[in-house]
Amino acid sequence: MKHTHLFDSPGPRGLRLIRMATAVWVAVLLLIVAYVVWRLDARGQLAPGKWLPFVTNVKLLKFLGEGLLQTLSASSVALVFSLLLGIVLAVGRALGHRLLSLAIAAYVQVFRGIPVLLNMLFLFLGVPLVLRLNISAYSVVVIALVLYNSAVIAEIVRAGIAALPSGQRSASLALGFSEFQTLKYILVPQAVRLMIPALVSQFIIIIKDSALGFIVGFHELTAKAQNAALQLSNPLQTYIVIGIVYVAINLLVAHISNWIANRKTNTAG
Amino acid sequence: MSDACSVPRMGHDDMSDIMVELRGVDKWYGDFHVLKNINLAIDRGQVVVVCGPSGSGKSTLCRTINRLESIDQGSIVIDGRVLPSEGRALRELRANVGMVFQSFNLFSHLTVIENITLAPRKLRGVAKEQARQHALALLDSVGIASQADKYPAQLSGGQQQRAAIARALAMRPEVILFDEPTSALDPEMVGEVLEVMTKLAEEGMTMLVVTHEMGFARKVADRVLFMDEGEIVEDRSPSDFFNQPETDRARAFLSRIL
Amino acid sequence: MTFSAITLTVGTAFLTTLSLTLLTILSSTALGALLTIGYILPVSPLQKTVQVYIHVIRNTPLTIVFFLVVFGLPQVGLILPFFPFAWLALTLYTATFVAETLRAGVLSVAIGEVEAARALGLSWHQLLTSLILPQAARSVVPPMTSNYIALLKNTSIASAFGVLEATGVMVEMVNQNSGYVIQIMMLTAAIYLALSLGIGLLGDLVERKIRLTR
Repeated sequence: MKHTHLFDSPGPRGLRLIRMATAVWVAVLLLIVAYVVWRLDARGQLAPGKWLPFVTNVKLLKFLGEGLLQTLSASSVALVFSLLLGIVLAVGRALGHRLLSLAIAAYVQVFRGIPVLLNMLFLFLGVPLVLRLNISAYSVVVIALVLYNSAVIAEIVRAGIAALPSGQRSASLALGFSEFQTLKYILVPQAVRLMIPALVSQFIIIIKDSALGFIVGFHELTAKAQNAALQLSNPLQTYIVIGIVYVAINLLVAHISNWIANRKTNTAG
Repeated sequence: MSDACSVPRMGHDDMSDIMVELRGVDKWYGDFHVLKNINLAIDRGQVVVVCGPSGSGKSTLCRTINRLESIDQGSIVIDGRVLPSEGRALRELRANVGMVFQSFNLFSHLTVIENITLAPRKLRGVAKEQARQHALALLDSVGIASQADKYPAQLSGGQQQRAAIARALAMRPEVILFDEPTSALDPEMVGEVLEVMTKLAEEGMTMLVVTHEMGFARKVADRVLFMDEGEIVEDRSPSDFFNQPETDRARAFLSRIL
Repeated sequence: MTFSAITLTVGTAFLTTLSLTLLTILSSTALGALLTIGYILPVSPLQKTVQVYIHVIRNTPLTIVFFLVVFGLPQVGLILPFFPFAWLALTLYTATFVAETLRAGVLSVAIGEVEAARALGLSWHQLLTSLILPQAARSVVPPMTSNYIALLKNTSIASAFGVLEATGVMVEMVNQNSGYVIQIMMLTAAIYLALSLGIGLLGDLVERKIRLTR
C-alpha cells in the first residue's frame, strides 16, 4: 500500500530537500557500516576462519541441518494439532452449553495471556516432578506450542465465522442442516479460507517460537547453533547465519502460501 | 491574450477577465500521455462543463488546476498568477480555489459544521464563533442547517455532498472545481446537489464541472468541453454541442449517453 | 522456604518484569514512531533501509535477536549488563511491530480525505494534527495494546539471558522447592495473566477516552 497521497508531488525546492536528505542518509548509512566493519575487523570477526565453516564444514552443516529438521518437524506438527484443536474449540464454543463456552473462553484467555516459554517450562519441570513421568523435549515444545496456538487459532476461526454474512447460516439451516452440520460444511470451511493469511502468519510465529526449545533442551536449530558456536568459537557469525536461515524459511513459507492462495482463487469456480 | 483554440470561445465579452488559463499543458503517467496540449481559458463567472468517455483525462484536467496533479509541460495561470508548485504560495492559492470531489471526502472524525469551519479557522485565523455563524449560514443556503452537529456518516450521500460544497464555499473561493460531483449519488439525490450548483452558477461563481449530467450542462453551462483520449476535442456552447456536434467522436459519445 | 516467602520472591521478580516491560514500551514506541516516519518520507534509501530492517527482524525469532545483541554488540564496542542488553533486544524487536501498526494507522485515513485537506490548502503540519493523528489514534489503540501484551510475555525470554525476571525466578523456586511445584507455577501464571488482562483493560480505557474527547 503506497502512501504517496500524503504529499504533493514536489516542486523545485521540495526536490532539493529530498536530494539533500537522500545524500545525508546514504552518508550516515555508509559511516555506520564502515564503523561496524572496522570494529569487527579489529576484533578478528571478519576472519575467514570464522565464516567459512558454514560453507566448507560438512559435519557442521549436517549438525545444523538436523536441528533445522527438528525445528520444521516440531513446527509443522504443532501447526496441524493447533489447527485441529483450535477448530474444535471454536466449534465447541459456538455450539456448546453455556458452561462449555465459558470454559473454552477461559482456556483461550489463559493461554493467550501467559508466555509460551512458561508453557514449555511447566511441562519440562512439572511433568517429571509432579507426574513422575519422562517427557521428551520434543513433546514439551510441541504441546506447549499447541496450548498457545490452539487458543489463538480458536479466536481466529471464531472471528472468521462471525465475519461471514449471516445469510450463510440462515440458508444452511433453511435447507435442513443442523447447527453442527452448518458449521462443519458451510461456516468453518469458509472461515478457514478467509483466515488463511492469518494462519500463515501464525505458522511463522510457531517457527519463531520453536527457537525457545533450546531453553528446555530441545535440539532444534537454535540449540544446535548454540552448541556449534561454543565449539567453533564463532558465536556472532553463527547467530548471523542462523538468523538468515530463519528469515529465509519464514519468507519461503509466506511466498508458498501466497502462491497457494493465488492458485486457489484462480481455479475456484 | 491569444489562445490556441481554433473553436470560437463563448462567454463574457470582457475578454481580459480570465480566471483560469491553461496553455500547452501536457502530462504523462509513465508512457501514457494523459493530457495532450491542453489550451483552455475560463472567464470570471463562466460555468464550464467538461464531459467525455472515462479515461479521457477530464478528472486529471480538473485536478491539475489546484495541483493535486502536477503537469509535465505548459503553464497554468489562475487569476493572473502562475500556479505555484509548492509551499505557502500553493496553499494560499488552494485556499482560493474550491474543490468538490466525487466521493465527498468529508472528514469523518469531525461533525459537519467542524468540517466547514476547520479551514477558515486554521488557515485564516477566523474566530470560532464567527466561523460557526458563517458555516451555519452556508449550511442553510445548501439546505442542511439541521445537520450541522451530525457526523458525515449519519448523512445521506446528497446531504454529504451539499456539506462538501458548503465546506468549499467557506473559504470564499473565486473558482470552484467539481470532479464528477453526482456520480457517486443515488439517482434521487442527484437533483438536490445539482440544484445547489445551479444556484451557485446563477450567483456568478466561476465553475469547472466534470460531469455526465447533460441536463445540467444544457441548462446552466456557458460552455461545454468534450474531451477524449487526453485532448479537448470540442469547445462549444451547450446548444451547439448538443444539437450539432462537429466531430464523430462527440457524436458517438452523445449517442451513447443521450 | 515457606510458601509466603516464595510468593514474595516471585512477586518481587515481577517488578523486574514490569520495569523491563515499561521501559521497553517507551523505547520501542519511540523507535517505532521513528521507523514509521522513515517509512513514509519520500526519501527512497531511507524507506528501503527501514523496510529491510523491519522485514528481517519480524521474521527472526526474538531468541536470535537476543543472541545477536549479547554476542554482537560487544564486538562493536558496546558492553552492557544483562538487563540493558535485554531491554535493547526487546526494543529492537518490538519497535518493528509498533512501526507496522503505526503505519497501518496512518494509511487507514481515507485517501480522499487527505486530498480534500490538501485541496483546502492545509499545510503538512495541519494535515497531520487535524486529520491524520486524530483518525489514526482511534484505530491504532487495540493493535498497540496487543503489541504491548506480547512484549510483556516476551520479557520471559530474558530469563535465558541472565535477567532475574519472573520466569527465571520461578524456575529457581521450583528447583529449590519441589514440594510446591504446582503452586509456584499457578502463582506465576496467575500474575502474568493478571498483568496481560490489566494492559488489555488499560487499552480499552484509552480507546474509550479517545473516542469521547476531541
